[in-house]
Amino acid sequence: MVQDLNLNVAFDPKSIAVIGASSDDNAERKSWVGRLQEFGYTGKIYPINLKATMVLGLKAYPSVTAVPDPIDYAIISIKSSLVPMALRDCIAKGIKVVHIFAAGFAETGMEEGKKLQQEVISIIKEGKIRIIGPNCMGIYNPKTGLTFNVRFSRESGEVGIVSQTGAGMMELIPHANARGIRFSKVISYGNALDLNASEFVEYLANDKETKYIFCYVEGVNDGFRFFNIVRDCNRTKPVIILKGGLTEGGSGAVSSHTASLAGSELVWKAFFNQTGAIQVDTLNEAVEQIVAVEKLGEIKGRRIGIVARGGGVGVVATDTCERAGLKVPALTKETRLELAKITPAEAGSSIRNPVEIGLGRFGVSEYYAKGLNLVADDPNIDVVMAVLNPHVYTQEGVGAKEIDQSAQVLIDTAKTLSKPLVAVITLGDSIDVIGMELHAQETMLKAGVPTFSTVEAAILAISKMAKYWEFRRSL
Amino acid sequence: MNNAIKQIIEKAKSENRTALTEIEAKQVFKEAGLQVTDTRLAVSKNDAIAMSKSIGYPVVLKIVSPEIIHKTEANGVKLNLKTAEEVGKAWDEIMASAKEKFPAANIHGVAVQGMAKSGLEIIIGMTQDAQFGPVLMFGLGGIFVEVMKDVSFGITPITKRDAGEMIRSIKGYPLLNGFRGTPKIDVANLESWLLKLSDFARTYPEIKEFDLNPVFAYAQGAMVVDARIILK
Repeated sequence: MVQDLNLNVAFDPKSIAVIGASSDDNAERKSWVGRLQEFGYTGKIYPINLKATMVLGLKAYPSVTAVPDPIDYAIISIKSSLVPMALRDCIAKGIKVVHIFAAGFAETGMEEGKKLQQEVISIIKEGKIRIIGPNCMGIYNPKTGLTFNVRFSRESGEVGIVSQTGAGMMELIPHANARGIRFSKVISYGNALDLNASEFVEYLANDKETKYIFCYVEGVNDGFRFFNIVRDCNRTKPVIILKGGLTEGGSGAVSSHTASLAGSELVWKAFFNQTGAIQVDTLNEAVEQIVAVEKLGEIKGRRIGIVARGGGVGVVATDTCERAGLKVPALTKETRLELAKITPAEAGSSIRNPVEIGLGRFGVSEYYAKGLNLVADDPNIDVVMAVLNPHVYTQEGVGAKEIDQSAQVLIDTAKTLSKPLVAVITLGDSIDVIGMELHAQETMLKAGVPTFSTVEAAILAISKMAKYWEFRRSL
Repeated sequence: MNNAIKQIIEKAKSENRTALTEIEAKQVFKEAGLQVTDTRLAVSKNDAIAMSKSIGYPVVLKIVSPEIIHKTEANGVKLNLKTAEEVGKAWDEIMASAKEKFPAANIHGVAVQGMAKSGLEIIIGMTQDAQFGPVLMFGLGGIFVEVMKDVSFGITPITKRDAGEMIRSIKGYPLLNGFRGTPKIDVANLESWLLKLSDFARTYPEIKEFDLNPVFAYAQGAMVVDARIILK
């Protein structure tokens, strides 16, 4: 429990020392002190700099031990060779958690860096202190105004991230923000010299504000513990994992078949099968899966009803579904009879599945919502995917108004639908139209409709959610 | 912790061996609750002939030496021996070949075992993974494991669900499920073996790797035909 307390301090510190704050305000404005100020951190900030007396309007101190008041948390942003000294000061000051931003440790692969990392390990063994890092971006917690990038949303959400990469998060978080995702707590933990993925995932598993977890790991210090924590967590909170560096682990001369076959890729496959964690392969896919996990909810099976304009589009979507392990079953005769009543008698319009009703040349067909409901109510269907490609109709007068209108129809319909709805709004061929389509996507995502830009991304995300819920039901 | 298993492991350790012999390994797995072929150690040609008679023909002879792990390559395995004469001749050939190919090997004797009724060839194994500890492997034997690498893994301890998933997730699973007139394999039994071996791997951390290769799986039950255990 002491450990939990320490991590709470890291996410909600009442005071922060920035060790290595610059004496040049223009430089520091873009660094840790400036970011905290700009992002709205309301606790006390103590810039630590040997020479400066003031940094960005705050009184500066030569070391943390010179600060008269207690300090909860420190960010060490100095060159690696000076870190041991700063760390000893932090211990003397009674600081509970330290984020070492500085790089130049074991990750360099150089003797000097490894030695320095060993030195830090022996220092923290002596004192009561926990370390995040080194070589990482630390914490983003919009609720308490902590961040490592001021472009991140200041609104809080329900997704927590535990990531070994910080640079990857600079890319992923704004991208996810644009897709309507907000975060509860994000940790970039780098070399995991002390606190590691297991501890952070366990913390987020018990965190009431976090409902979904995404984790980027390369290696784990104690794999068995990580395995158990993820397995337990994933039973109630979905865990998405991107395992970096999955390659065949050839291990020289081995004497049994089993050892020679047990490359890390196969063992990690077992990890995913047994924990039920959702595996993603890229950071882009991680964003799509986060959207699905948060906005799609439980789906009861793999049978998908596709509502898309254009026969070929539906055929290709069907193939993609089947390849991803989803089924595109024919709708019942009853549903087809009902659909026939509302579908305009256009040549070749299919009412089997995929169903061809959609955004017509005059904006949303008045029958569109009715059609979606009919498909959703079909007993052969577990989830509905609506595909819109508004740009196809721009020559016929479809513009921002019509596109927003269709977004609204999807939002309203999703609320009354008997099965989960996934929407795809593909992106067109000119900046103007793409802008309109992105705007529609944003509105839908904010309203809670899982919306994607491509059929492939939607299907991959849906198939992984189907697998996840199968796992949950198998327990 | 099983005393007989502990003794076998201790004996090997006291002799500075990391490899158990086939006979020792089979005894260990028998104690762990699996079915193994009746395998006895013969230390002379006459011994081998007498044991063959008591086990019942046809029999298999295999070289027993901690230094000779890949017995077939050392010409140390003779199958389907039907008479005392064939057993005697096999003994001579095995000894001659072992002395020629592994002159320094410490030869305990020859294992005499009954020919197991043929079944679907399975491989089950365990290795210590650097990140996760003991992991179990399951696959179909022969070319499926050698060429196709069609195997699945499980991080121990596994659950009953995990055991079922390990078996069902290999590509060759339809072969266990009755294919072109072959019998449906007793999958429930294989699941229970995987669970027993998961316990076993966690109970004896001094074991670095093991292979049960092959196991013959039947419509009812299964039989360990060859086994190998490597200590840390």
